[in-house]
Amino acid sequence: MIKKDLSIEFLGVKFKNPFMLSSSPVGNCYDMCAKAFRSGWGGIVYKTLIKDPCDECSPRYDMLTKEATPFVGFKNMEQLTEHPLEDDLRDITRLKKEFPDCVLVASIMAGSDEDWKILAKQVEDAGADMIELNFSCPQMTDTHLGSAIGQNPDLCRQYCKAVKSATKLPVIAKMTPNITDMCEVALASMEGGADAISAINTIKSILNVDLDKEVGLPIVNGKSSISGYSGKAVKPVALRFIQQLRDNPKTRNIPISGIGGIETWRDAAEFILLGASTLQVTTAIMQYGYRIIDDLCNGLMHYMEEKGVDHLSDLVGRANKNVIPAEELDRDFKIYPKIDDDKCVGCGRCYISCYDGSHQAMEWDKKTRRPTCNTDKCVGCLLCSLVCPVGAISKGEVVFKPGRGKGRKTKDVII
Amino acid sequence: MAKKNNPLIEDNYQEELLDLTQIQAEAKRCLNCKAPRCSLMCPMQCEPHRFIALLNSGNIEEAAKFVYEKNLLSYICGHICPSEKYCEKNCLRGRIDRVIKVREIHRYLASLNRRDEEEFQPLNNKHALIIGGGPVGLVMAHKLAKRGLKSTILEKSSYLGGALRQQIPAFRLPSSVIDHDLNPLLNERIEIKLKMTFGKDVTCDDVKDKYDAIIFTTGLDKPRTYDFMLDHPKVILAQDFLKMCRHEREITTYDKIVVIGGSDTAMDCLTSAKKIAREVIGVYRREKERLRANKESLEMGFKAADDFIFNRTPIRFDEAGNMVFKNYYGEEEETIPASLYVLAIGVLIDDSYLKDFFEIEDGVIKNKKISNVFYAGDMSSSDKTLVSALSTVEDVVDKVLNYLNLD
Repeated sequence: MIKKDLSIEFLGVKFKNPFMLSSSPVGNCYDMCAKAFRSGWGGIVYKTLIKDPCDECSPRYDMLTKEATPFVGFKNMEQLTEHPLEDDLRDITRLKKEFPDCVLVASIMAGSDEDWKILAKQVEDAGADMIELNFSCPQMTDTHLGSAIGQNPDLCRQYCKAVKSATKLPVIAKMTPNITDMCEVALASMEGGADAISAINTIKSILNVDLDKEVGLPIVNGKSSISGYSGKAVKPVALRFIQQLRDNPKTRNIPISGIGGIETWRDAAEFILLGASTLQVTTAIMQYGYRIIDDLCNGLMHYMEEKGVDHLSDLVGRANKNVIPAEELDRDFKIYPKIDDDKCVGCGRCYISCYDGSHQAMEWDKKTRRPTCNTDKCVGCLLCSLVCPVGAISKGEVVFKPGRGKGRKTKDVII
Repeated sequence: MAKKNNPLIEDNYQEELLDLTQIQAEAKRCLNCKAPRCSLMCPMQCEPHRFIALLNSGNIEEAAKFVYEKNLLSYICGHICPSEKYCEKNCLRGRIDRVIKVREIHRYLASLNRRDEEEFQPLNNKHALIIGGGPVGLVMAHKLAKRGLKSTILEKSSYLGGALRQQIPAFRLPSSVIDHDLNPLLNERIEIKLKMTFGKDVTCDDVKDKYDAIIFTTGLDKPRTYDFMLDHPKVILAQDFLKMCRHEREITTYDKIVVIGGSDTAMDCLTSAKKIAREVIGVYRREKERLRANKESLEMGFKAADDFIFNRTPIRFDEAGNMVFKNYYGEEEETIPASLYVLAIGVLIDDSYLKDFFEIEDGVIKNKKISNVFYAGDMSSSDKTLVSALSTVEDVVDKVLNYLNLD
């Protein structure tokens, strides 16, 4: 079994590994958090505390499927804590006492400066290591709370300021993706004193509509509401927001806790390469349980080994420079597909997709059931390689477009 | 010989169907090929790629109707079709891991028992005689009825279903499955006459001018045999053996049964024999590699047989009444003692009653002697399977209609 040091420092606090439970149903009480810590999670963002416990509906989840895959995306309608405040505070104290080496972040939400301050003080006294401000829950019954705050830079700034005035703990502002430009609210939060950004919370969604009852899912006594979407399907949206935070000179250096569809160590590594230094997980835990931590850690260790780094922090943000504006991309060349006839099973999916979805460049031999690429027509989109069920199509010959790439060699093109 | 309650009687079997979740998971493995081989290979043109696609799009109702639109005996075929040589033979998914269980999907959809409302053309005063109340005869009568013809079916046994109900063990094809598909074929345009043996109870002269069309669907109903075995008390034909196993409530048990042959029928005999005998031996005249039975049958047969002896062909009985075999490739002889010998070495066209209607050469029908006579099913199909037999029906219906100037 590989052993690598996965520890990382985030806001002056040392995490034994970057993996945390995000503030959600998976970190709802002492028993759950204790089990997660024992399973090996580096940190927990305890489910958001609020003055008055929330009243939840039933059922409250739904999922998006594709072909044989469940949980492509996940919708949840839960809000914040369902416990009286003093119970949660007592659990936080107990957890911190029993697991002193694990990091416990208290997530809080309020609707006034005064309430933010009181909660911040209370969780600090309870023993939390840092505070996450929930500016982003998209399914609050009180429409002035949650993502309504995260869409308003002034409120973000104001509430950060209030919290910072009440506590010495590091403060993370949790962003909503239900916004066009996250930099604006992130910057406002920083101006208010936020020490870090966590992104993203869930995306407002309607996942499925029941065709018999003509109502969105899940059905709550014949009705449904817009609520947060998470899971694998939202990862691309999360990565994009994180990249944009890293791209903006004003938010470039703020520490980021990455959230959104992290299921495997690969997902985790992607967030790290784009600049996140801690990672938060919920949906994958809801589907598979806390035990996924072993595979997350092990995979990440192997990746570090492969990359030859001894400190996880060495990987943070390494891919940011390679995301460039569309107008700056090298458009001088195209890459033809390379078809491995031995691997090919002859299903013809590449032919169909190329014809119906691209440039009719794939030719099909009826007898042998093998495709060949007509390079006169091929534009090098490589859709064929994506639909092939057996990975028989890879990137092949690189050619410069007519009149382009003068003085360049195709072998220098990085593919 | 002791008699006991027949363990092969069908109320001892409970059918095991995959559930919808399992079926959908299986269907979702489909690669969605261009020019799908499953459909190209099906003699009945059941178009598995279409019902799998319908299932995958969540249109279960339509998928269930589709299988019956393509094949009126879908539930039966879903049980006994040797799909390994048809739709599942070249399924490209098999090159990745394993082929799609097309037959299981077909069976499940058929079990839902959804059929589109059928259109029947007005009666046209034409009347067909169908000889043989097996699957082909019934499908034929049904298709003719839809085109406005009345039919009379002559069946020599006391029930409909032919080989399905006589030669296939109940554990492979329960009566409920046969009824599920055959009962809906019957209607007031079809008259059934049971216990009518053609050539005995009815002759050529009785019918040739009475009906507008005469269609033989009697299949291959003359078992091959060896002269020296005729009427020997220790020899039973596979067809009689299987009929007995399926239908007798009390059955004789044996110490040792030898099954001679290498076909699907031989394998069914072995499997059935094991339930009523202490020891069961299979004997085949050639090498193992030449066995003609399909994989599923072979697996069952080999599991049932205590031993399987190859390259042995039967030649005579010795004084003690045991059968003597000769090496197929040599001269040495070997006695294989048994209390019962089941002979499963194939079936032929019965020319005793067909010769009045057809010129037959070497067991193959060459020419008609009467213009209004036709034949369908195993008598004309190359592949002796149910789908192959059924695939001949449509063509014969067209020929009949054409002959009667009805198209």
